[in-house]
Parts: sequence; structure tokens; C-alpha cells
Amino acid sequence: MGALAYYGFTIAIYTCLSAIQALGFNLQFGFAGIINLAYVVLVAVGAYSTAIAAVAPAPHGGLTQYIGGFGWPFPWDMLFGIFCTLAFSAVLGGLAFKRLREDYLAVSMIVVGAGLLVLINDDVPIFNGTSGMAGVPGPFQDQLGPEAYQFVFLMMSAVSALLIFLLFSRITKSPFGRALKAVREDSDAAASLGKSPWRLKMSAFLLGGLAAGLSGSLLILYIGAWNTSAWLPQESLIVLAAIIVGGRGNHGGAVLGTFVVIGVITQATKFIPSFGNAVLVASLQVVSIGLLILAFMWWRPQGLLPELKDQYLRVGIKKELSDSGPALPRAVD
Amino acid sequence: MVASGIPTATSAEIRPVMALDLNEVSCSYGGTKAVRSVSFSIPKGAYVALIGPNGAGKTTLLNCISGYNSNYRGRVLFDGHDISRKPLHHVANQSLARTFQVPRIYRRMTVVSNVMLGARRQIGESVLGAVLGTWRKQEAENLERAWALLTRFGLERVADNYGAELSGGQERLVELCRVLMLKPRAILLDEPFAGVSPANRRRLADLILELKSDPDFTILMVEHRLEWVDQLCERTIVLANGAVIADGTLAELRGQKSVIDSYLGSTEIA
Amino acid sequence: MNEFLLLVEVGIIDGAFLAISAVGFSMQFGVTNYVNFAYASFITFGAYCAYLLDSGPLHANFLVDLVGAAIGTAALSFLIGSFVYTPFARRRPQLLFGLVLTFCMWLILDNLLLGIFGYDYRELTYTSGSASNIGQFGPFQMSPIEGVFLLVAVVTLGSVHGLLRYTRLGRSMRAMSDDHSLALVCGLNTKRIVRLTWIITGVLGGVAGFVQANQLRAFDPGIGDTYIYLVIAAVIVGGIGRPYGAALGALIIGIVSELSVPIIGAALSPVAIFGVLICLMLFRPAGLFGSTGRSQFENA
Repeated sequence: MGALAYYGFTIAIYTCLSAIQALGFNLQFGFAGIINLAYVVLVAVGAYSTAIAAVAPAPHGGLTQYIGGFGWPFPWDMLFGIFCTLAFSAVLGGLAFKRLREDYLAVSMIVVGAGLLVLINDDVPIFNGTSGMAGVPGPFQDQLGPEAYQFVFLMMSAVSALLIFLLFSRITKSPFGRALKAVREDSDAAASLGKSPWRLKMSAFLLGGLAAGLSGSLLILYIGAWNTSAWLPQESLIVLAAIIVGGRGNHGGAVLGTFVVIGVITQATKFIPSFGNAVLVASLQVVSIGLLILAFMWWRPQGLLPELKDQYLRVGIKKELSDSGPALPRAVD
Repeated sequence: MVASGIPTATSAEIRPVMALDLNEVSCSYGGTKAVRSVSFSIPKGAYVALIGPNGAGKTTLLNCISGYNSNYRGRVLFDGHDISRKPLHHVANQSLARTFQVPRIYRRMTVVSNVMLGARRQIGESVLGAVLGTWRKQEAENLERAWALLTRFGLERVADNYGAELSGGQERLVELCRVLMLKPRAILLDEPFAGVSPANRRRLADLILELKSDPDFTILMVEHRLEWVDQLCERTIVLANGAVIADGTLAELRGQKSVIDSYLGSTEIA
Repeated sequence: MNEFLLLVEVGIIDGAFLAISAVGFSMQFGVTNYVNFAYASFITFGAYCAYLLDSGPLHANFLVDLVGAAIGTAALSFLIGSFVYTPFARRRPQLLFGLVLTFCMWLILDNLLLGIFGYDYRELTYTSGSASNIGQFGPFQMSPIEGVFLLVAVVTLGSVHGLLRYTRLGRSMRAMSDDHSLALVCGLNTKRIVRLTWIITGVLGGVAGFVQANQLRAFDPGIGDTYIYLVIAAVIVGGIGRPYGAALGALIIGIVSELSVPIIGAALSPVAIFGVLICLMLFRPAGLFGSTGRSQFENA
């Protein structure tokens, strides 16, 4: 298989996994109104925990140091990764949602993300510092040939993305979605109707964490390596752009936004002349994504696919109320 | 006649459980004492009005009782349960509902969705229930109840309209429908007639009176317009400067000097 | 005991340096209602302004570098604040947009600086060799250059204090922090105050960047990013929007950071900071001086 085909597979897999992240982030940000700008930290938790589950223990006194190293095969390493992400999200959410209002929450998430970056970079024994984890074996990589492996992994990623899309759509198109929207729009009014804002936000946060863990896990299984540069704050920018461009509070919008943003990234490099070094090109990519977000916020804040106004049951009413009296409600939709 | 605190039972009499019991409720707000040692009891089935000049602390008191504000001292009991300083959703789940001074309708949801939010213990509101899809039957039942409420309030025509498209009076009625979906045992009404057109006020009053058909249903109503207080409530508590200064029928209160004095500083006409 | 005092001294010095940017960040939020994540980039910009004046053809001295960093960052802050943040606040006033905006601005500015300067480490000329003549005063240690920077920090913080307490501008800024709508009603020229706030907090950011560049010895465009989490932590501890709280928070963060080193090691100092934040979240979520209750963005 030529280099172009490999490149194609890489982009396609990366797009599917980014779509999963976008769907998870959208659930937190668009549907629940949780401004978690450090979503990428949850992805990192999934990646790191999958890594320490999959690789062999670090050799004593060697240059690479990390905790764990259970040597589990697929799918146990991935499940461990997802589990750790859920646990981490639960702790984070438990501390944050009961006590912090939205602006404090957003700021705290950034602090957590930045602080963890410093911590993991400096404290080498945890996850091998700036070098990070490497040599993570992919699922069935030995049994399949290189081409078949790419194809199988693409199928896995696409199916996962589709499952998350269907699952999240089903969850939000229900009384849960209605109550969540109510908490987002006016938390106190929702509480006065007996809805617990904490429980609803926590559920949404955990679901977003589930998507992050799944995506992080698959990412490291595919790439085989992961270090702190993979979860810098600017990585959150991609998933943020996908939502702002695609549409907050709209699952289809999240997926569409992912396609658009990745398209912009890959195509934009063709137009940025390579007069500068690689650093300049990468920086300009980030700057263009940032500007894209600003442009959409200014001109089309609802995104390409705006939130469906009322996704829940709507009552179709026959307008002839005069003689026969109002018709019985029939749920339309 | 000023209401006393919670009366103690003698060995012979057994006191019925009060709907609402307030005991020495005090609340300060950035330096000012908004509510001072308020105590009163409301038996089940009573319709009580809470009146007083602007700034007397009426809404603050409602906020404390309902859990909107948990920064207060004192005890609040509802139907014998201690709801002091419990959060809004906990109080609502104890079947004590409230409306707000400005109706908090969801503008980007339809009237039907707004009302359906009031239904309690919805299976579909948990993630598991939503995933399994076991909520549809209950939702259909809730929908019928919501429709019945909307029809009773004359809101069938606007059922599919969004909250943003409603008039002030319609918002008020929708809010009441929504709150009734909770099947509450008592409601705290905050100025229910404010912003309602004269035409709709009669209908609103009739609807509130209709609810009296349930002998255990209790209402505590903050209201300025005394003609409605007269028609709907058999007892009135007067709050001024955060303290209860009078408690009795409107006729009794009209003669009391303390009540008239408290209104002299305001633009209200007793 | 001597070791303990030394750690406390270093912690106080670190805290004083941290306070410069913490106060700036807090003041920006108080007056403009913007949680400005791009402040990290302002700090980085300040460091590079000083570097360019220092190592460029001018070979300027300490004072020129300091003033240059201050003025350059003040200009950047004014431009971003007046031409990006303020129009956005008018058009998209929701909290969500404000946070996303400053977050994007942070990454845009960071990457522009990265594109221009690259990953190479730079140094200010007076930082090397400063480690050699460390003066000893009882249990305390300080090098001359450190002493000079400490003086800069004290003068800066003192000026801010003087501004807030004794000038009309300062009182107006405090009024706007406390209650925006009331300040408008009282006839304060809020637009002018906001513009001046961008400038003043820009000065603080530039000075902070200059000081931090010296503290780190060698720095790259990431200097603001590794620092901003300490700045925000200090602001959270003090209560967002409370400059005096931010200064106190900075001292606490500095001291706790240093005292944790013999216990858990320097690399784990973020854990100590997290510990402080977790305690705060459990016992005083609004910060030491912050107010609990609903955010200013609640609809009536």
C-alpha cells in the first residue's frame, strides 16, 4: 500500500476519533452548558491509562519510567482506559458541580489541565515525562498484515463513532434531554420543578468522559505513542472549533464540524507556502483554527447545523376548535 | 393577633400536622436584615396571603422557604418534614412548589414541553431510562395530563408555541400549569396577578379557587392587589421590615394601626 | 528552622512576583467581566519585549527593558481589549462566548509568538552569573539582581494599591468591580475606565513577564503557559475579581509551593497547588474574598 493510501487511512481514522471527541464535548458544552475547555485532559486520561494497561512494566533503572504496565491485551486495555476516564470525570465532576458556578468551573478546568501538564512533564516517573509512552501494541496487530490492520482499525473507529452518535442521539431525544436543556437554560427554574441540576450535569459530564476515554484509548492504540504535546490546550481547540462551526447542541453538527475543521487543517497546509520552518506552519494552522472560531462566533454563533428547537414530543393540534372541541393530543415526531 | 411559634401539644390534644411551619426564620443580605425571626404556621387546606410594603422581605421569605436561598437561620417544616436549608429540587420533590415573581418559562421550548417538565419521577430523565426507551408509556400518560391542564386553563391554542411567543398573562398561566403537573400539596405563589391582563385575572382567580376543591391543598400567596387577597384568602399575614406585624382576616387587619402605619411610607394604598 | 525560614522567604518572593500578574488578571475580570486567558500570552509578550530590547541592536539597560516590556504589553492589551474583546462583548454578551473568545485569543497569540520566535530558549543578559554573588542576611539569602526585581515588584504592587485606594480612577474601578449596572447609573464613564484598565493591567502583565523571564533564566514562548496556571490558582484562592485577594492568594501559593518541596519534591509542586484548590473548593468555593451566590450573568 502506498504512502498516499496510508495517509488516507490515517486521516479517516483520525476524523472518526475526533468525531467521537466532538460528540462527547458537545454533550458537555452544547447540551449541558458545561464550559469544559480542558476536554483534551479527559482524552489524555484515556490514552495514558490504556497505555499503562497495555505495555509491559518499565524496566528497572532504565531511561523510561512510568507507573503500571500490566501487559493486558485488547480489549481489556481499552476498557481499563475508559474506566479510568470515567473515574477521573466522576471525581472532577463531584468536586466541581456542587460548588462552582460556570465561570469558576471553566477557569478551574484550565488550571487542572495546565497543572497536570506541568506535573506530568516534570515528574518523570509517572508517565515518562515529556517523552511519554510508546510501544503500545494495537489490537490484533500481530495477526493482521499492515494493510488489513489499517482497514480493521478504520472499521473499528467508524463503528465506534456511529455507536456513540446513535447512543447520544437516543439519550438526548428523551425526557433526559429535555430536563438537561432546562437545567442549561435556567438551572433554578429546573430545580424548582424537582430536577437535580447536579445529577443531570454529572450524567452529561460522565457521558462526555466516556466518549473522551474511548477516543483517547483508540488514539493511543492506533498511534502507539502519546506524550504531553498531544494534549496541549490547543488540541482542545480542534474539538471546540468542530462544535462552534458545526453546531452546538446538535449531534449531526458535531460530526459535520469535525469534517470541516479537519478538512481546513489538511487543506490549509497546501495553501500556506513553506517559506517558514515547520514550526511556523504548525503555528499558523492553530491560528487559522482560532480565527475560524472567532469568525463563526461573530457571524453564525449557532453553527452550520443549529440546535433543533424542540427535539421532544410535539403535540399536533387540529385547529378546528369551534364545534367538535379540541382534538385529543397525538404525539407528532 | 400575631401568630405564635409552633404550639406545643398538651397531653390531651393531638395537634394536626401543619402544612407549613416557620420557626424563627431570619435572613441577612449584605448587611441588611431582610427577614427577622419570622414564625407562623399554616394548616392544611388554608389559603394564606402574605402582604406588606415593598422591600418588606416577602419574596426573600418565599426564597428561603422554597430553598432558592439557603443562607438563613431558623426552621422550616413542610407537612412535618424539616426542609430547612434544603436545595430547591429537594423542596420541590417534597411536593412544595413555587412560582416566581417574573415567570421563568423556557423561551426556547414549546408550551407543551414546558408543562411536561413539571411531571415528576420521569423514567426518561435518567440516562438508563433514556437509553432503554422505557419512558414512552409514562410520557404518553403525562402528555394526557398536561393536555388536560392546558385545556382547563384555555391554553390549547398556544400549546405548540414557543415560550418566547407568549404574552405575560399566558406565561403566568403556563407557569401555573407546569407547577400543577408536579401534583404539589402546596404552592408558594409570588405575585400571581402581576403582569396579567384584566381579562385574564378573573380566569386566574377562578382557577385558583377551583383548586380549593382539594381540602388538603394549601397556598401561600404574596400579592399586592388586596381585592384578590380578599376573594381568595381567608387569612392574611402582614410583613414589614422583615418581621410579622399582623396576622388575621383582612377585615381585622384593616382596623389595625400598625398595619396602616407600615404602609404610610410606601406608595401602596391599603 | 533556618531551612524553614529560607523556604518561607523564597515563597514570599515567588508570591510577590506572582502577585503582579495575579492582581492584573483579577482587575481585568473585576472591571471588564472577562476571564482573559490570553493574559498568559501578554506575559510571554512582555518577556520577549524585554528580550528584544536587551539583546537586540539597542542593548538597552535594565530600566529600558522594564519600561519597554510594560509599554509593549500595555499596547497589546489595549489593542486586544478595545478592538476585539469590547466589540465581542456588545455583540455576544453570553458568558460562553466570552470564555471561548479569550481561550482562542490565548492560543492565537501564543502561536503567533511561537511562529515568530520558535522553540529556542532565550535569556536576558543579566540573569547569567547572578547566581554567584548571593548575599546572606541571617537565615535569608538573596542575590543583588533578585533584590532589584523584588524592589520592582514591591513598587509595582504599591503603585496599584495607591491607584485603587487614593485615586478617582481606582475608586471607579472598584465601583465597577462591585456592581456594573450601578456604576453605569452613577454616571461613571465606563468606556474610559475599561480602556484604562486594559492599559494598566497590560503594564502589570509586561512587568510580570519581564520578572518571570529572569526567574526562569532561559525561557521560550511557553513561559506564559506554565505560569498562567499559578496565576489563575492565585486568583481563584483570592476570589475572582478581588485584586487584594489575588495578591494574598499569590503569597499563599508561593509559600505553599516552596514549603512542599522538601516534602514531596519540586516536580510534584502542582500537587500541592491542587491540594490548596481542592481545600478551597470544599470549604470556600468562591475564594477567600469572593462572594458566593449567583454569577453576574444570571438572567433576572
